[in-house]
Amino acid sequence: MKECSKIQDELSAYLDGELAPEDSERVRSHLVACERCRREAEDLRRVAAEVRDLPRVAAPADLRERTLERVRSEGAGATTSRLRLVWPAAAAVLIAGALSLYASFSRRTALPGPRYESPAAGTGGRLLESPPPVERAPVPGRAASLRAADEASEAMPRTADALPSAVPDLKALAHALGEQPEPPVEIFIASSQPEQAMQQVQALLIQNRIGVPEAAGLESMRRAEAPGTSPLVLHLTPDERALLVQLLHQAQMKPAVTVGQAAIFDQRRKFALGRVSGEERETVAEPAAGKDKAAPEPRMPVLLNFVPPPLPPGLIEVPPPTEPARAP
Amino acid sequence: MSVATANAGGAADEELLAACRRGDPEPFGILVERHQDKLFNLAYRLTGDRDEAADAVQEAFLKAWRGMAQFKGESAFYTWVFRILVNEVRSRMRFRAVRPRPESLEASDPADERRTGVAGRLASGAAGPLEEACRAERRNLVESALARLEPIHREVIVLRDVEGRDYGEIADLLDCPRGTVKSRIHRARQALRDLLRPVLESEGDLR
Repeated sequence: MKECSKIQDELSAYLDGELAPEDSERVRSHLVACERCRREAEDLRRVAAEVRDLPRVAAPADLRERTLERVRSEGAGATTSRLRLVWPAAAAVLIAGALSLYASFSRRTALPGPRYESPAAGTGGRLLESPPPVERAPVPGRAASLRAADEASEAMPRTADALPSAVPDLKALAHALGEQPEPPVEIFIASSQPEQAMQQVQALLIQNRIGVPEAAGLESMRRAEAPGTSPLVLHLTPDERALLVQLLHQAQMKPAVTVGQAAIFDQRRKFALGRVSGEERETVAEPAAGKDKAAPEPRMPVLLNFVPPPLPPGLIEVPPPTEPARAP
Repeated sequence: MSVATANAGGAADEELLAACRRGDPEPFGILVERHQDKLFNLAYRLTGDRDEAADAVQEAFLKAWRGMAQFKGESAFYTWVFRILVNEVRSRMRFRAVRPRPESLEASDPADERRTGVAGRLASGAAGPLEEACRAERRNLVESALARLEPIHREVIVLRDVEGRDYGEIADLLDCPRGTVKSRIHRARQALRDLLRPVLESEGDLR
């Protein structure tokens, strides 16, 4: 029976021809002898065949034209160049702000009690209230090269050196885009390893007394229903959020909060900064020109695409990512 | 593919890419036309939603266009856009955090299938209306089972069984260890097997 269970774990790889020759032979000879495992293998084979035989679905007839339209408008630089300039501006804000935030962070950690009730207090909050004016003059060459680098680093498979080293502060970005975030905010952290992400963020929050009165209390953090893609939802004041972003970065969770992966949501639509089209960015930047100038939402949810890499030693102890064990 | 672009598309991807790098969007259109069906099918199987799939493919092409200067041609153009698309779909799915909506292919444009030759293949089997209906029904069951998988399971199954990628390639694409791919594929098939139990038990293998 134990042998059967071991063999059954290997069946998919066996059927896919992905086992080493000796393992494959072991499975094959077991299957000759064991009817139960043979039936299991047959079921798995048929399941794979069913998926393989699904019809191939052709692209919508207008996809090419729609894509080309956007490509042409990009080429002309008509819709995007101005907003592209937001990024260097935001990066400058960040770099200017990083040291002060660092100082603010050191002070906070020295504070003896919870600091939950003072959203406006602390340099971290004020620091980014008035970012320098976004450069508006068109500089097409520079904008284009920045854009290309930005897009490429995002599109390419993630590697440490492909990521931008400076993490734009989300609040500064929001300012630059004309959004006025109001407290409190929610931070969604989507991760393929929600447990691990939760632990890491929790540890950061507790260590720095952000949004949590005590170590045990993280009532504001809850998990949504879909495992594997669960956002962790936090209610934070803007300066707490700004600090958290910095802390995440300092903890070398770099891929978590990069230009390409930070996303700002408005009330109904999601806007992934660095991912959205020029037209969509325009919509974000100039809501006044749009239709629904209705009551502003009291919260500004921010989504961080969170992929926890290993932490530097000594910062926070977190077990390495593992596949959840599952009984055979 | 239309006759005009088929003719214009005689050029190799590399030649078209060279023209694109000079800033000409028209050759890019030929590249889009050439690869869009395969990429759309991938995105559709990953998302289960035609609109989402079309958006993702469009976005992937756009990113390819923007990153053209960085594309060194070390891999094929298709492979490059394929990777961009997989990342694009993954981030969309992660952001949405909802299950894909399986759509019935019956509701789709029949011309779509003719273009990919599926209808032709079915028709050439000289299947009667009853058999056709059975196949359609079966296909719907498989599609909705696929849609009910966890996203991390669906993506490995699609990459393996729809795209025919091997475990090493999938591990590379998803940036995870090969052992993880192996166990995910196995769990995904087990989950599919459970979901498709009625199909597997009530009918023989039609192939």
